[in-house]
Amino acid sequence: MIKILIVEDEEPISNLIRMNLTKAGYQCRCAFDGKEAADLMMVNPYDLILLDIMLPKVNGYELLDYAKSLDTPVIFITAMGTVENKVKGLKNGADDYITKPFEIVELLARVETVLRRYNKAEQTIQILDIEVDVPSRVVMQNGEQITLTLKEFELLLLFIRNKNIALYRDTIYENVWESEYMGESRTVDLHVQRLKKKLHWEDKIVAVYKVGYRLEA
Amino acid sequence: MKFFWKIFFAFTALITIVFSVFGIWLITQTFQNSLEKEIEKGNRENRMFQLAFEVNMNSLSENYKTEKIVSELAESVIANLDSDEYSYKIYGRKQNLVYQSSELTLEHALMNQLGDASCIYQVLESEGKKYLIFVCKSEIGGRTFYLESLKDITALYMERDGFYSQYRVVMLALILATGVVVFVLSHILTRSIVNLSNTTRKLAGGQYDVRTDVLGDDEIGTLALDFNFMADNLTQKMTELEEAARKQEDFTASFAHELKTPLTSIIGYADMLRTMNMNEEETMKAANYIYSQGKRLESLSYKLLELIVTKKQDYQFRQIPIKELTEQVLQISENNLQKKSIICHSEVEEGFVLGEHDLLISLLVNLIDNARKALPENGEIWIYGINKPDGYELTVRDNGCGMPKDEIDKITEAFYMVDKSRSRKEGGVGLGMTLCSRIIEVHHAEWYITSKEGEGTTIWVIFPGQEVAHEKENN
Repeated sequence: MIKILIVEDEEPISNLIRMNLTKAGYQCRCAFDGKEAADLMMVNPYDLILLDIMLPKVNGYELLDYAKSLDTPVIFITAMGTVENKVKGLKNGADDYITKPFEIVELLARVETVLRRYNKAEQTIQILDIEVDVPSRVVMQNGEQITLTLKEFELLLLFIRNKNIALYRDTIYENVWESEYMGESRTVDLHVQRLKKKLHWEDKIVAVYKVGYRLEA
Repeated sequence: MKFFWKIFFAFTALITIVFSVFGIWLITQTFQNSLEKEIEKGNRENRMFQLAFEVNMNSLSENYKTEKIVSELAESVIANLDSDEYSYKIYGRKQNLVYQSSELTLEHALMNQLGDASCIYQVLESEGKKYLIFVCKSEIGGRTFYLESLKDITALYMERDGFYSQYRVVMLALILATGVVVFVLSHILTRSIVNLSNTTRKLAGGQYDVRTDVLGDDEIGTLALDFNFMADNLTQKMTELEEAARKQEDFTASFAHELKTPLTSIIGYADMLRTMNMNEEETMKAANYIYSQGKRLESLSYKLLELIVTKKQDYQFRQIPIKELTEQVLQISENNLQKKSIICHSEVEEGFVLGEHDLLISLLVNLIDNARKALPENGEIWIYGINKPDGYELTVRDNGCGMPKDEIDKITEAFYMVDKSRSRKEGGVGLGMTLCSRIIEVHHAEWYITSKEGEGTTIWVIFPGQEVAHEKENN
């Protein structure tokens, strides 16, 4: 199981991240100041560290250096969304950043991406009756390969990573098409319909009234 | 052209002109004097010649006055005169030569110009030589003679030219010598200016710590002093501005942080509520977080509003009775204090403070609230109010956790919190002391803070007396 250390001094935010990552199947540990985080890192190896920059006792940047010396990937969380701050974090060796306030979907996506980069994420995902090989983009169902387009595959991945979470149409659009949602819901609906048909998941991907869709697993 | 060269050339030119004019005038004057003396002497000689000639001619009887005898007579007269510097000539009435002592003959028209004058002279040039020539007329027994005396004065002119050429050499040496002196002098004079100019350039180039050397107490020295003064002031202003900009930046950054932290929780938990199937416990937890973080945003916005209000408004100060004010504040704070079973002692003398009622309430509420946050259950707060000769002193003391000495200076910085997690639990946003500091500033009051870890904190606020307050208000 993948172990993630959450270093955040604000208890509500720390809990928020922990609850969501736990639901997504990660094992989480919370540290509320820099010193506590360093102590934990020394004892246990972690697969990923989510790090707030403004921390009591030990500064986030110092902690970043320490994490880098242990070869642990780091995503830093910052309230200061200036380019300068992001660049400073990335230059110091952070793998990615999340600016407060963030959405759950974004948090999960960034965590997943960084883990995959370090080959720590599961290469194959088994869910319901399908098996997904993420790097080679192959989807197998009952020993048969299902042919999916690029967008359909990404849509499937989004549903799998956010299983049991209602995904809003704009969230789906922004994550799969990577541009701002302008209200043209047909694109999302069409792709979801095709995906459902190809996988015979008519009862698995359910429409949520006035919201979007949810994968029930 | 550089000022240095301007001084140099101006002085050199001036000295050259002055010396040339003076030298030429001196030499010319000397020469003129000698010439005049020569003329006087010549005149006298000519006179003597005339007199001797006339006396001798008169003693001669009329019959012997032939040209030959006249010529012999003239010769003997000239021999008696004993002045071999001169050569003499005697002409007859029709300007016919009667006698000459030497062969030297010069063309001139003096005999025609003579008229009624007794004696006239002229300077003549011939074959590169200068001659002084005198002519006078003698009427002896109805006969007219022109007597001419001639002197070679080339030596006089040569002497003048000699002076000139000597003086030229002297002048050249003089100009060279003064040139060197002026060069050194202008270098000394312009050195401080060059110094100042270099410093100015450095300052303009961004080296704000450079200062020029003050050389002497002349105008340039004063200028250098003024320049240094200006640079000092400028640097100070700049540091202040930088400091203000840094504070502003810090404020913005802290503000963004303080705003985004509760927002992150609110948005995050709300997102969970709307997208996930959560059990009752989780739903409750999320809702609680949204509520508490929303409350935090609320208190942040109230405090910010208060802070903005203190910055903007022009206040009408009135005499505020402090005892009544304190009682009012204690009523407001009572509820919060009771929650932690805090005992509040108040010994406030009757007295007045010139100020704004609502701001003073806000100040006291914040001070008591800060004390409350530092206190454990069953803690104690003391409030003292004492009339002092120079104003009114209000003290708030608690026996709470206190703070380290180096934190005291920082507590008025916006969003600064000594113990973040404890302050958060008590609902602090880190603006209370900033607000207090503003209110104290508005009232021209002063405050002092002492604190010891584990023993408590004491804050004195000293409001100025009426006259002082009025004076400061008018300023």
